[in-house]
Amino acid sequence: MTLIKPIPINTSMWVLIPSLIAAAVCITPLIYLIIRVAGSNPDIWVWLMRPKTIMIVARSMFLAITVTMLSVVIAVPIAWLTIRTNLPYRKLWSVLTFLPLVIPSYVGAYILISFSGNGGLLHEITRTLFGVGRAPAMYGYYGSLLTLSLLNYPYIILTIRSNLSNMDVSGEETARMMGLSHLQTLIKVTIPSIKPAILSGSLLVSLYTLSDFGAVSLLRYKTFTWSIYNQYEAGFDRNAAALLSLTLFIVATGFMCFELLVRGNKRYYKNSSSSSKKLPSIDIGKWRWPAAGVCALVSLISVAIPICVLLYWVVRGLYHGETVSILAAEPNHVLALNSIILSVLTATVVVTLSLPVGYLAIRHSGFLTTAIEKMCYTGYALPSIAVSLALVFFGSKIGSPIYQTLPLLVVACAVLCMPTGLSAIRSSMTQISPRYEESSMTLGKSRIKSVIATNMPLLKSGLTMAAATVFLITMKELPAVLLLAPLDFHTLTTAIWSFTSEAFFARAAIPSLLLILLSSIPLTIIVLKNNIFNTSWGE
Amino acid sequence: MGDFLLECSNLNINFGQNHVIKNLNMHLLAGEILSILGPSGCGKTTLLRIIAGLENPSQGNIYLKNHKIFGPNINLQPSNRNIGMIFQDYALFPHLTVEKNILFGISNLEKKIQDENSERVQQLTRLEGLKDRYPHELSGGQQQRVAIARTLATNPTVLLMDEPFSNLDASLRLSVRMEMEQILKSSNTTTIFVTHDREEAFSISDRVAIMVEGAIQQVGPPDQIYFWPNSKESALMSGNCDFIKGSVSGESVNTSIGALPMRMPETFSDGDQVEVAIRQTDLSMEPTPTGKNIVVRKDFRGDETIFWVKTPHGEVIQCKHKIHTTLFPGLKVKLSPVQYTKFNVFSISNC
Repeated sequence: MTLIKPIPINTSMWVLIPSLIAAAVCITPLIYLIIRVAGSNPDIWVWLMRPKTIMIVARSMFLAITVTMLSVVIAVPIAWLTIRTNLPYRKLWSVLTFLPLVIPSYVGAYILISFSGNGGLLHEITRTLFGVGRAPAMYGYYGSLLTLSLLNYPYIILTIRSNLSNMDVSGEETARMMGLSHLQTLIKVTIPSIKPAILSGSLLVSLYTLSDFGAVSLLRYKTFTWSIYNQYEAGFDRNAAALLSLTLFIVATGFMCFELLVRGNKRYYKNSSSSSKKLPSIDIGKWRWPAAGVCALVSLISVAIPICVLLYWVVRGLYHGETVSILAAEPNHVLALNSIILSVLTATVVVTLSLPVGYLAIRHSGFLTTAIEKMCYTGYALPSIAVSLALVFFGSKIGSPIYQTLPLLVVACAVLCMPTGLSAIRSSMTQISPRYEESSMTLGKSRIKSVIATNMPLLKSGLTMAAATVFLITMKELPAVLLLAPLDFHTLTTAIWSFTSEAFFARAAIPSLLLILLSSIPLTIIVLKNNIFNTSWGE
Repeated sequence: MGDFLLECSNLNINFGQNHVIKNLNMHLLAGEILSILGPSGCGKTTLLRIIAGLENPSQGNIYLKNHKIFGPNINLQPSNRNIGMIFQDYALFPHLTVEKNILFGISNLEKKIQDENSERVQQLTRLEGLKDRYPHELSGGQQQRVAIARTLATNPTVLLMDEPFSNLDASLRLSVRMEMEQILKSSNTTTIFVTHDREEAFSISDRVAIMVEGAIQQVGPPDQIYFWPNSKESALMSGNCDFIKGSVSGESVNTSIGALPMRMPETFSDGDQVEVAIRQTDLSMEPTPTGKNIVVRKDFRGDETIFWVKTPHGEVIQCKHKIHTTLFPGLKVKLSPVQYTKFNVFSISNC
């Protein structure tokens, strides 16, 4: 007689199988890149060691590091001012400094070029007023630094926000009683205690910068992503493109390891147990208005000017009569609809797959579940251009049933967004006590029913947050759509890309505005969920 | 296998290197309230979770009404055991109202029966008028009553309660405890409840099980455990007590404070080296210049005063006394056993 093994109540196929599928999908691009590189001509190793290639690596890393530093310099003071002090119009600045998140990097770059470049807005003004013949172009490193910093600093504000507003102020109070001034307290106590959050925000910004393709391409700064795309487009060496992608992955992983090393496993900050407690706002006295001026300046450069430039191009296009016909000819609403379809599909896939993975990771931590979870985070270190390229190789190998179809594009976007969606759902799930489902089981409900009946209602806000964030990222996604979209499938991003890369600024303006408008919907959800309106407003 | 409502035999469970439950045996009689009393970390909660089906023992059998619900080739899912469990934090579903919480476990029944059941338990737990509230709008005591109501609505064969009073304010505990005892008795619910608080365990239960390091040390009615502890652990869990060394001589034991009458002298022989358990009320104190014991600390607590008294051998004994004005630290006192008191002794090798 064989012994029937007791059914381990901890494993449920309902959860394990979808998780395994998610992990397999997420790891496929990386595996495929490795296979491709491993099976390639050994010459490419020589190619990799060329000075030109090394310059590309150096340039990318330099850009990522400087963008991150500039973003920290912008974000930390703004976060502290808007959350902890009696700055005038705090609410307004909090919202305005979130808005750059809706502007995709290539739109930002296009705005910069069309604002400062030859024939741009700034040039027009200076030519009329001062008779300046040529405008100093903002191409290259400085343009990329400016664009990416001004668009990415909100990620740092986002990660340090909750730490700053839930902080246990007793450390600060002790420092004050020991005779430190507000500024000394800020530098010696407050900032060190939110250091882990600043670090994880910085990691996010540096990874986004490394993987950015649109801005650096438009600004002609030759980084990794630009080279990968060119290698691929030119078609002469696809193995080189794969090798570069893998190198980019290794650099990104290096950044992650560095962050882990610096941060360690420490958690300096302590979330005060009574979150409803209002933090006293710090009186910054005569600095109130200069500080507000700084916030205004950042908002002006990163939000107001870009929007104005876009509006200028719309008006100018209409004035010159060309956009009217283009408006009619270009089915902008079709582009918008396609963008929405793609984003909704991706959000659905990501949320559906994140649920079982998140559940497994939190309730049944173990070797297998940790491995599954880690695999789902691949998209974090594997930049979008690399994922897309891998799936192009993979798709073209398999051929017709999936290559250049919408499902493959959705898979690419899902792989990229999985880390974001998963971490949103995970953090919301950690707050749900396992006692609920256990209670439900002892009340006579089956395991799977218990899990769904008790967790789903409590996950609502986490799910919304995950879906909104994924929607926002997919809306702005460029390389995946560029490389993987079906031939007749155009989105707002591809339209903006093709117009801007050919310098049809007026034509790109309307899709850009539409994209920003549509991205504002998920951003509003994110802003509301981040309690921007609920935190204590001293005024 | 006797006619027990619930029987656990030879249960074992390991968490990694930790042998949390060791060869544990226990049984439960229909209608009784059994409390499991033990220090934190002794495996009490794990035992409850095993009985509920939320943890799987590595070895052992569990029988419910003489049916095997866990064993080498059977493992009934928690949902099919009909055993109710109330968690330490109550685990009320925060998104559901009181009434919906109560109906949660009986949603598969006919609507009419659902309403009857819900009505019955709401009356029993005096929750009428609160049914549309959400858990966060209730006091700790009310939340606990909802948890009980929710579980009783499913008519569980056995009710398990994990530290039910630990989340309540000290000032509320007594009234909530009396209320709960009344609910359980009037609904004739067989209950196992787990606590580290002796007073709770004694006042509410028909029988108390002392649990130490993953095994049941002693089971019996509260007074039996208090007066006849079978080990030092049981003596310590069932009341404050100090131990002093002594040697057996006839029906009494010689110690540094004199000869003390011992319980069950027949189990020891003359000259046995033992430890004597001394409760705070076992000795009376009398100040005298010839006294060999010295008061070293006085702790005034209102209704009573606790004195720490040092014996000639340097052992410190706590004595409870009503008088507090004439006794103070530094005073020499004579200690003598209160009339009719018998002392429990434990052989030293045993400890």
